[in-house]
Amino acid sequence: MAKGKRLGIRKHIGLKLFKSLYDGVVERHNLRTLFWECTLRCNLRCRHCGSDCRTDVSEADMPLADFLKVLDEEVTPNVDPKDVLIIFSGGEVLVRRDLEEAGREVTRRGYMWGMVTNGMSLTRDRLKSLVDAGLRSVSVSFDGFEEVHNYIRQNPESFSRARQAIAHIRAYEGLTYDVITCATPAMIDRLEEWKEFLISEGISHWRIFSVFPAGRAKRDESLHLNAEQFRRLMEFIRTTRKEGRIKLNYACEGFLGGYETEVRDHFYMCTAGVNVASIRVNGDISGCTSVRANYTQGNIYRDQFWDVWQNRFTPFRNREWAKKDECAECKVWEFCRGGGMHLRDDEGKLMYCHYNMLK
Amino acid sequence: MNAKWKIAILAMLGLSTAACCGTKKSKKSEDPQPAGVEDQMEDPRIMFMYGVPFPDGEVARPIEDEATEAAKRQEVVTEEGTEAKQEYKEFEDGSAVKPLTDEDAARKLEEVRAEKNQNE
Repeated sequence: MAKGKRLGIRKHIGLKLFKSLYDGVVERHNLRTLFWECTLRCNLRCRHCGSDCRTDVSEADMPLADFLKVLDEEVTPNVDPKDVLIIFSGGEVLVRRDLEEAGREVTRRGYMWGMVTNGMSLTRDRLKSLVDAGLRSVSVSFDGFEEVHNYIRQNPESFSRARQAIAHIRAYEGLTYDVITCATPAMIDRLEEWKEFLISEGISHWRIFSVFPAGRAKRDESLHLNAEQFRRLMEFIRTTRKEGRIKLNYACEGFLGGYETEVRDHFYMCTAGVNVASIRVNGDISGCTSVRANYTQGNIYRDQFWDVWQNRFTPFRNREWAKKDECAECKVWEFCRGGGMHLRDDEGKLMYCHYNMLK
Repeated sequence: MNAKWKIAILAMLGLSTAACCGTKKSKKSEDPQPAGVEDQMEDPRIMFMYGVPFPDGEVARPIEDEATEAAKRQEVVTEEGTEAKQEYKEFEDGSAVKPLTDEDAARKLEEVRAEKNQNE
């Protein structure tokens, strides 16, 4: 029977306890993940891109030296590098020719690093050079069968290249990976079939997210799940996790009511600005890279990163400001705290509520 | 109620993993234990929408310049008795990244499935 929004007594108690524990995490706000948006250039033009990046952008890549300066002068003196995961993000990170140099430099400083890629240019040789540069974790976007993936990615070779890239990755033991599927209406009826395909490809770790209305995706209704489709997606993830044949998680996104702990490994939490910081391509300092520009807390070219991390980020760590509109009277506010920061528009209004989708 | 009790109750409810709970432990028994450290919750590692999974195993260590040159070449003997070379990348913590054969990959997948079945 479908779970829907209703929380059972066990989860309700669990969430209450977790809530107070999580308050301690917010208070400590230890930096655990640092995104470096190293480029906005991309070799694809995906329909659902949240950052609206394109092949030719006016914003230049951030010089590696600028990022390393922040690491050396601001971050490393204040953290244990082995506790901080650095994620190179874009755009498409592989368009940067100095990615290996960047990887070697952060590895030399004791950090682990990973990257997200569309796989278009992840050849066997490129992967090897990245692994040699210390790459420890990689995620590849893989949105569905060939016609679906190529439609979303708007490139006829994107599916085959992503598939090949995943095969290259699987050839390395010790390289952590997963594939990421953006669940769209075109794939909802084929999720079971898609799961079997991924398993047959030997893929062991899979992540699903759904489109939220930002960037290019905002304008394309063909990508948005309706409430019934979203509910089916949750049921599919729950069933697949019970099967245990492939490790599947729904991404961080929003609070999921009765599906909490059943479609991902952890209770819902938005750790943007709590454990997660990002340095955007223009030097802006924010939570995660999906969060809109007007929540920027500083800029590495003007401010001291560590001072910003320690002393700003109030809107991320105290979300009372988000308790308005539909959230004002919501009975799960204490667990949800207004959803992910990336789901807030420029005026702070909630653009999408996962909980309300579970009717 | 302190954090230790909350974590214990979460464990009884079968939800401690979902809360990413754990107690911080001193790395060496002789290390002085800071007050209250046992009561702290480990900072959560969640699966971000555009992030990557947290790497398995021990953390990476700083690499030496020579090590950056990468990857030792190791001689391996194939079933046919011929020698081939494979690239290995080893980290100081003992974890390694090395090529797998398709057979190895299939075997590992079977092991994972067997472990899952056993856990269920």
